[in-house]
Amino acid sequence: MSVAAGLVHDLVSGMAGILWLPAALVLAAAGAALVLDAFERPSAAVSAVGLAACIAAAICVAAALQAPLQQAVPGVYGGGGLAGAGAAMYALAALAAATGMRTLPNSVRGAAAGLVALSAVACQALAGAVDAVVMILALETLAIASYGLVSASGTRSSGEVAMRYFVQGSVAAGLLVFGLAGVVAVGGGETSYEALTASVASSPAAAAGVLGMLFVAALAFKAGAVPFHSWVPDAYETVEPGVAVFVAGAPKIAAVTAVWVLFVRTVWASETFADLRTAVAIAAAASVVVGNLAALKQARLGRLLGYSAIAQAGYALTGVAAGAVGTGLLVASYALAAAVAFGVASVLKEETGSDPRIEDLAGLASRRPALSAALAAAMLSLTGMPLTVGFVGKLWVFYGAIGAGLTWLAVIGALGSVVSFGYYGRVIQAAYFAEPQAALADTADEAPEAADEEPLQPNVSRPRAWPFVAAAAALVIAGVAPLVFGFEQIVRFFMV
Amino acid sequence: MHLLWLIVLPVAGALAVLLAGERLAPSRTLSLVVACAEAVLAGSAIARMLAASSPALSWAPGGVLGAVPLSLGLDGLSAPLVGLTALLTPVAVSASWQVADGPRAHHALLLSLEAAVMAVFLAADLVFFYVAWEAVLIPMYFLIGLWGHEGRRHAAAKFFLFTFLGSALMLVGVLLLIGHTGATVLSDVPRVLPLELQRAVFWLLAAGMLVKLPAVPLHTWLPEAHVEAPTAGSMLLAGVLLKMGGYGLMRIAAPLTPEAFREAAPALFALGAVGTVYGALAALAQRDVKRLVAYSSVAHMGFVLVALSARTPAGYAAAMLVMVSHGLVAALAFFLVGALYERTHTRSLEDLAGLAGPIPRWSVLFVFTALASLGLPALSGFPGEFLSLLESFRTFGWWAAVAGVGVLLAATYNLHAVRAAVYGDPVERWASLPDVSAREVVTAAPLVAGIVVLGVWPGLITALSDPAVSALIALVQGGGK
Amino acid sequence: MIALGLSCAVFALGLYGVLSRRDLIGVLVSVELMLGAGGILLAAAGAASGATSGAVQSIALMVLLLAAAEAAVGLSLLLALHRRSGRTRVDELSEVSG
Repeated sequence: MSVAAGLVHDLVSGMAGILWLPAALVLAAAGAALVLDAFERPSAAVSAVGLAACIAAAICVAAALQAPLQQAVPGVYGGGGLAGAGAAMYALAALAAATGMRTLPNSVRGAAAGLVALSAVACQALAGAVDAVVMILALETLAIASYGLVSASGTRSSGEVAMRYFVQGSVAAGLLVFGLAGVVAVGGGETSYEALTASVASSPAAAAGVLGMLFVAALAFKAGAVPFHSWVPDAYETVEPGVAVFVAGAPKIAAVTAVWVLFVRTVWASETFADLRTAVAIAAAASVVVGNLAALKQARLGRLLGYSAIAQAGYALTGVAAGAVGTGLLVASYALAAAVAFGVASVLKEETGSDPRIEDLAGLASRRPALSAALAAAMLSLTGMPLTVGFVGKLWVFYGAIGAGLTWLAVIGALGSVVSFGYYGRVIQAAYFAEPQAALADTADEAPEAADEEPLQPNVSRPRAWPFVAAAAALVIAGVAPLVFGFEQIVRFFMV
Repeated sequence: MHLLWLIVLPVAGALAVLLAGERLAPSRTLSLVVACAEAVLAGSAIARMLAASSPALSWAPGGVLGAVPLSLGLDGLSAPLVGLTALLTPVAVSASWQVADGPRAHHALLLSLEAAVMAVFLAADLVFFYVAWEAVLIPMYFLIGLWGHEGRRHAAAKFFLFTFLGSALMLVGVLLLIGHTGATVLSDVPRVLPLELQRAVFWLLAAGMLVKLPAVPLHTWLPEAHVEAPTAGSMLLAGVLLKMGGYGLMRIAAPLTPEAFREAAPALFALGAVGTVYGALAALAQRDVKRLVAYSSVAHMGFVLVALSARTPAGYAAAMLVMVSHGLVAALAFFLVGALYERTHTRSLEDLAGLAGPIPRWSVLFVFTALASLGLPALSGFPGEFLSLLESFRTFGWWAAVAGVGVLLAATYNLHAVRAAVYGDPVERWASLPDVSAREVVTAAPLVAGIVVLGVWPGLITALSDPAVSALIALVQGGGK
Repeated sequence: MIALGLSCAVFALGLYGVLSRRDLIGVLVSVELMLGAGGILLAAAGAASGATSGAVQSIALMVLLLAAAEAAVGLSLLLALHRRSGRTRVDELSEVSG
């Protein structure tokens, strides 16, 4: 027993040495999932991914608390705030696995789980990349896995959306390759960020600026910010909610962290690239405005969350433009809250068989009080209400923006948050204040693609709701605890 | 530590009610016990504050944005409001005695609301103040939306959005302040800021507070919210939540940006004076008695603005008197209107007539409330309104006459309501209404007592608040630390 | 210089194809053109930078790998789409409003 305790102790104190372990575990789980899928054991595949992701998240939490930023694997950094981001991403993968992905056709469940695991590893690599080649590889792996995940539900519309996403993503990839060529030209074959920082500093500002724009554009596309946002609402609407738990948040965390590392910490961080920062600030403001205004008109929960994701990308880019320390926390809290929202949607879809419209939420508060409380907490966190962790993130981002002289951006962000309650509040209203309609049976008529897809498996067991209730509770606890214990710990957990 | 309990006790009580209500004991009883305990606790805190050598209590485990926001303080400015909150909550709980539809959640929300409001009045740190300010919205939103009347959904959304908009601007102001001074604990913030910054910060902060107060023209959320809210919700909304606006202006906006406050004072006075007149006229035009009381809140809170824009110790004292008085009077008014609605299911002044016959005790209370609302000497409304007129005359000269018109008009709508509802020939329809029960009398009793006591002995409040008020005014007028 | 011009031209060709072609196969080919253009520039840049290590060659190979993976995914998406709806023209993708 003491040998095991000693081993655990050594493991925890020697965090620095095993920063690669979470990724390795989850990668192994991805492989296992694909194998299990080949053997037609989808539930086992999903569980394997979930288990590995939980363990990986736990290791990342320990690393975030103990290990400073350092190299995990050549080309990728880990520890510190990067491990915090990694913990968030693996937790999202675990939550996605927790839904069991039962709304997906049985033939693709295992493969989808494997893709989620692979994406999680790619996300962590993207966030921690310190070499341009690694970053591009991770980004493309993530992209390819995302195309697969979006089309996983097997319906006609998901195929179309995936195709459109693919085309747009490939254009971004093409631009990125151009950027890579530029990096090679500028860096003389050295692609690590350290070497790049030096060579970019010594190359003509215009060329370096164009290079920077290419990288920002590609990463902003992944994060879903204006003007590269058109794929987001469609994708969020058609992707299965169980998969969306992961896909809505983790790529955003990874992309924002990658942008942060490139533009605030390393290559384009110096004063000469103020124009880049202005461009990012303008994109942030545009995203906040476009996302919030468009979301007001949405009637389907998935599409509403899609447009709201554009606005949230705007808040995150505000933090990047300002170099605000709360950016990591903001994007992680968004991801968790979105995961709770999609988790609730997944549970509902499993029960009713079709994607929930907002009116379909009516009466949820009396039918499933814990679930609707979780949904309400997630909506309040997304709005940025105090007592939730979403507020802490926004507080620090706006504080940083004001400190960096971008008060106008903070004002836009604050006003955007107010407008966002217009639609987040509508969700709460539907769940709590609306009269339940007897027309729940009518929703079966609204699934024209039902003839195309394989029939949903009959519910053997009640859909698992407790992980999302627990996640929502975490949102609230993480919002109240800093008031009593101070902001430092929670901000530092995600600070790169 | 004592002060922290004032916030923790209602929260713990809310959780207890949520978990154990209707099983161990009826949730209303549990809630009442907690609310009364809170009242006792508040009383002892105020007593300790008075007994302490420097009349202020504070509790802070840490201090800057990198550390802990939880920093609490009780001084003369917050003590009357803390006392008011502690007094009104058991009354509100008692007013909700008959709520049968989800009583656990209802009472838990009432207690959480009390905790949040206490946190606002006790906050000694800017971030904590803001958090508490916003936190108040959540239970109120659910109270209106779930137990309100027909238009509750729209009213709840409008209330939330309007107030949230003001608070969002307030957040920018708070962050500007913190960013520039590096301090978040109120006593640490230096008072000298560049004038440009002061102006920006003041108006951003004031945006949030004026919406809450509410100042005309930012008041449009109030009539709907008051009318659609359930009785206890309206009582706490009018009785306590509106005071947050005045308190915020006095505690935060004015002392931290004194020059900007000086420049803004005439504008604030104008808003207040217009509010007293507009609120009274609008109240006069109402056919719904609850809406009439709602507009009377707008009118009364106008006096708060008039008083504090005078920037003198007596002005602040007047504002405090008006706030406490209005808290008691409005709560009583909403309680009576709610009790009436439970019996008659109408709030229309055209239908209600001659109620003195069938329900004499209710009528007595209603007339009493109307007299207190119009500012009859010997009742609580008079000292505050009189002093505010005096101080604003001292500062703004004959412009104070506008507010004086507001006082006159206060009589018109109150007497109009009384004449329409209470007097006149008895109507067949209301002949057999049950009069106020013993429970309802007990509920109203503390409010009635408070109104009378405050009316004959306003010194009670001013003695409580004087030291703190003088200190604050020194900051406001001195303009430096 | 020539390589820069060439790669920009090919990229522009590819971009034009993506935006204007109405059949999805054409779009996929145009995507590959864009990635190829990047590869051209990469090779030229690598040669011009005079790097002696094999790093640049491996990067160029990696880009080829990337292009192949994208092609594979794109074609399988196209196949799936065709199998479900029989449509492979861009203007017929109308189930989901953009």
